[in-house]
Amino acid sequence: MQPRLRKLALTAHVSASVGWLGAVAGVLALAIVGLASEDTQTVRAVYIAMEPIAWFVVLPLSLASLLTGLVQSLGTVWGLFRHYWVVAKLVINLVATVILMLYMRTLGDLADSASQPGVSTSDLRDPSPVLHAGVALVLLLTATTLAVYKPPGVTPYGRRRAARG
Amino acid sequence: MLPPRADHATPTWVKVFAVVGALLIVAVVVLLVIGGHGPGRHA
Repeated sequence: MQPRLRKLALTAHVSASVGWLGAVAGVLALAIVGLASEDTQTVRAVYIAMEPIAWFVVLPLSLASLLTGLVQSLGTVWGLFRHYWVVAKLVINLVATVILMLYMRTLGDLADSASQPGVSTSDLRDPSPVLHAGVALVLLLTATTLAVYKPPGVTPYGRRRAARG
Repeated sequence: MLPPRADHATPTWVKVFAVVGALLIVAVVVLLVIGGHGPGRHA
């Protein structure tokens, strides 16, 4: 990959990945408010807002992070399976994206319940978004740390590639 | 001096990463099996 294109790809990957991290932090804040607030309208608003934020911000950023990460690794000397830290980031990204996709249904159900006046605030409150967003935040912080520190360690495949030259 | 194949050993952080990942997977599977977790729980 040419240096200018490589920098563009790196900028896209960092933007998408850090944006994903920030969006998840925002969802976590909303989820905590939903669990802790005494105000009924606030609790309803929080669960209704989480669904479009997940669809239009969190999910696109996660997919953009995955796609730009693949471009970044396959288009540079790092490769996709040569270094343990790249493999670990790929696993984290895939796991977080798949869980997010599966969790979209739950967010939809929570938003539907929140829009129904008959559902009480106590029935609406759910620790599940706090747990999921919290775990996602830890995973994404781990991925960011791996990307910055790039801990050493070459996979057996990476060693074979290096031996071949 | 390090043994000749020391650089071929799997780094400690990778082992820790794998163990933590495996524990998380087991925890999720247990939660799914006992029915207190998973998509559609609110349906």
